Amino acid sequence: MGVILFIAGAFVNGFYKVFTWPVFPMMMIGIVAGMIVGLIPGLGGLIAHILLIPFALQMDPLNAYVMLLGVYAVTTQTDSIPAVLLGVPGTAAALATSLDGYPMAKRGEAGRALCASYYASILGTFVATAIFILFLPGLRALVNNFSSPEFFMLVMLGLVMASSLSGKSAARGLLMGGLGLMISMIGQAPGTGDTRFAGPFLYLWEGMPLIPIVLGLFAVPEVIDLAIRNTTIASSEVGRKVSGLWTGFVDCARNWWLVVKCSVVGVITGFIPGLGGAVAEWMSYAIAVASDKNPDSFGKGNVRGVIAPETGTASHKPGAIIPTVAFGIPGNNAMAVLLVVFVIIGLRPGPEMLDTQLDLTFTMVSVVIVGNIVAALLALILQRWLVMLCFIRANLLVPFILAAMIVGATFARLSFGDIMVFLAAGTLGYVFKHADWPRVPLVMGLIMGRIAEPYLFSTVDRYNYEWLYTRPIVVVLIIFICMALAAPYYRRWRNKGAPGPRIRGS
Amino acid sequence: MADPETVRVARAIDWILVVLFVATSVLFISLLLDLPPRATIFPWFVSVTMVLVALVYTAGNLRNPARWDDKPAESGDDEETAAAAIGIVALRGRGREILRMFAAVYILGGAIMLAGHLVAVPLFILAYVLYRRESWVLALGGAAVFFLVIQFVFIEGMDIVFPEPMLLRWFGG
Amino acid sequence: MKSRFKLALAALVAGSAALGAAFAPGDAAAQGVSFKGKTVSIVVFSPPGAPPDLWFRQIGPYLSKHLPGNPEVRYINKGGGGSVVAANYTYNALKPDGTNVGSFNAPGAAESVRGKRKVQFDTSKMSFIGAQTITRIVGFRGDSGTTDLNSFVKATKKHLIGLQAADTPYYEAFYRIMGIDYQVFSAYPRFAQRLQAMRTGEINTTPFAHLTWVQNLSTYKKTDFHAVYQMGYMDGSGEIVPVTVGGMDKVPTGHSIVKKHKPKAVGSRDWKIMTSVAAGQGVAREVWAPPGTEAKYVAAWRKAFVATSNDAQYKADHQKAWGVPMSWIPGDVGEPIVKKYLDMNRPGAF
Repeated sequence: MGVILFIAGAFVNGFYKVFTWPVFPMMMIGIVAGMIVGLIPGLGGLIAHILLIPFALQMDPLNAYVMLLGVYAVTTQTDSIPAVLLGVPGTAAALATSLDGYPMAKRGEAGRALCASYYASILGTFVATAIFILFLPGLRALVNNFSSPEFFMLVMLGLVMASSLSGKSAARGLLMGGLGLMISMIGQAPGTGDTRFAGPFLYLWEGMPLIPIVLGLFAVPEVIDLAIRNTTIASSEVGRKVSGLWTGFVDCARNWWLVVKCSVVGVITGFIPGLGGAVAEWMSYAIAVASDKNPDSFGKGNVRGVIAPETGTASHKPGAIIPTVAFGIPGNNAMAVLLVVFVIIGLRPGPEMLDTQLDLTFTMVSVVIVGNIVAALLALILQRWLVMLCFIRANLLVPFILAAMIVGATFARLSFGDIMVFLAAGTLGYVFKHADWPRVPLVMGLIMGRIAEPYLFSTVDRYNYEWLYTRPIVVVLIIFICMALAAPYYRRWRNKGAPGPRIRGS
Repeated sequence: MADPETVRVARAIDWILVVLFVATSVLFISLLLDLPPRATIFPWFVSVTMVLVALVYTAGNLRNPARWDDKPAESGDDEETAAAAIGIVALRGRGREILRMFAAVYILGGAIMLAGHLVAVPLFILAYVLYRRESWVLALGGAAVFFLVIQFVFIEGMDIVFPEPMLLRWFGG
Repeated sequence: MKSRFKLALAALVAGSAALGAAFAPGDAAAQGVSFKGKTVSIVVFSPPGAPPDLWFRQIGPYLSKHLPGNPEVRYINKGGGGSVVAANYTYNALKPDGTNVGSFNAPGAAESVRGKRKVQFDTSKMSFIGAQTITRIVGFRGDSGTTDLNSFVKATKKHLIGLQAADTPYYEAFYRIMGIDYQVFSAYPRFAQRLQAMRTGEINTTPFAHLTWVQNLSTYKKTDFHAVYQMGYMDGSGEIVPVTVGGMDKVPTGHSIVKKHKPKAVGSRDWKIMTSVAAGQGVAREVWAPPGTEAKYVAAWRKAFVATSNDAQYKADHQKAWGVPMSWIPGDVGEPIVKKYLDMNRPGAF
């Protein structure tokens, strides 16, 4: 009990600090910068961080932390705006949101989808923080038990869940996941540094870039179909009022249990270092699909398909801060950059960040919470105009989206290779979309392959093959993987011949 | 149910994709042979699994070729969503338009490589909007906005260094 | 126009509070070289936000201050390929008009003489501007049984070493000489993953950049990590010597351990392998001008880097950020070191 009181006290202290002068305005600067870059597909939070770093280096440490975390808090919130309105996921994190958000926008429910995503973000961070206060000691022990074998299996679980739950057939999903894994292997092999599958192209030494592939696979087919239909994105005028403020809230409130489940997933994946937001997001999406009475409705504009991934990503964020500051091990890519900057400014990661300095840690977490709320409010004001995008004729909209996407794709490496990858992915994406081969597992494979392979390498080197049956967490994860593989068949059997759950248009 | 021609095309595409998957896996496996074994554990695992899953999938297809054929739009779908989301049916009779759009996308990509973002992107917007017979004002305005954003926000403001266009590389500058 | 816009953007995103220091005026006098009103570019061999990138971004404003004409400094990030991508870019894509320099690390430079990979640059045609010294401090977990030199030499328990691929030959050669049982784990993609593996005991020893070690000294002590030996670096005389900052003078180099405990191995093939890696640490983070850059510009850059390394404010900033003073090897001192290092890494050198 005493421990919880200590943690809660530190939280109150930390939370209060966010509202002091000049901490609050510094955070607002970060939030506004983060919102702006979040809107531009392909840019993501990194650019905003880089822009702000020269200033951060000159500032008082606390102000610098909150400014940079302000950016961190909101980029994945505004990136859902182009994902929902235009079907253009500017980051891998926005991908899951666009699967159901964009069909909703087409129905004229863009406002509802966006509002649901904001509320989901806010609730996700709240629940995540509550979980922290209650379970911090347990989470600490969990992290200390995660070595390479556990990491590898967890990543494989995420991949199998995404593969077997998306699309008509688990086999198609697995094949696409496998293709993603193969693409992820292009470049230098972890451990040996040998260049694999790169041919004579120096560009490929660094591996395949993610963002041009995501934009190509998902956004190009949408834009081409939009141009061919030559209508507006929203086919109905129903949602023209666009606010959706209340319906979005009701959606979240009605699905409170889903929010809690996805928050737990977010917290755990955030807390386990190195996993990144994509795992949180897709596990959350998979949970939403698996626990729905009508899994067939996903990918067609089921609001739960918006709520789940947004909750997962949002709750992952406070989770990722803690291993970063406490162990010096970044919870995701964004935190990896921030960690270096924080250390330069004067933060010394260490166990005391969970002890004597816990209020500073909670100030950081609070920035994420407050940032989410503020960004949601600002986005609501902005949304009135942004949603109008859905009611612009395709002829006018298409060239702009296309141009923005291709510029965004080039940000990956600032090389023409980015454009070629984007064009190739766009062409393939179109075929995949209309042949109904799920594209999500491909992206998941691409993301997960890079994380998984080094862990498999270290695991086999270190433990041979004993790890498969001697490590309890690994065994549990293997059981989960088998369950995820069997789920579509079980469902088909239960529904007597009805197809398994599928995420259409994915 | 979709017409037989569409079904045939859809199944053909499906077969082509499966063959491509297997061919890619085999290509990967053949490339693995030159590498030190330590760098190939994961690629072996993935490539072989791919081939196995492809075989299972093919067996299923041979047993019941109709199992993935397009179904007509479900009653809950509104027409547009269904047309956009569902398979090859949606594309019938639109081949020429699809090719035209892909041509536009590739022309944009090619133009950027030749002339650079700063020139090609605004020109593309101008050309596209005019080609679609929309207003001059919008075309010029849109092009100008992109030019300004690329020049002043990305290049000057954020110091982003876009790749050097081919034309400049060939003819110096 | 440009700087005015920069100012406006900066004001938008971060207020104008910090601008004073970043654009402070400096000494504009230089012999025949002036970058007044120009923008100079530095190719950085890491993606944005990684330590090398931040190091260059921190030094940028000071370089601007010490370069004649106080140009603006911008950064071109070309990460990947073990810094070969940045080196290729510097060699082929940068105009040699004096406004551009590039950076890569020592192993990247060594690739140019090994001729194994797709290398499109030749350091013998480029001009060396200077380099930052970064060496490795090798830390051990307390439960490995090795906590100091004594217990290291007598080690009986297997050492599980987490490494980055490029440095592996050094450690393998060292362990072969010392006759200690070891196994190398080189797949951890980043330092963070190695650190987690150290924490969980998956590995029990791993090298830390000396900056990182000094920065986190107190935390590592609490975590029961011990600095046992260091790679050291090659000084102008060709000797491998230890870094001495932050109390590191007490941590012996691998070379000194071999000399003391396995004197017969001095000069052996393994010894040469060790030296060929350690020699690069002194010039770990190298700055080069593209081929064809006029000598006066090279001189201006060299001078600006040296002036920056002596700048009191920068020294304080560097100390604050990285926990140790900047150790800059000027171009004229570093040139022979780089040459020796590259010669040692030519195929057939041992």
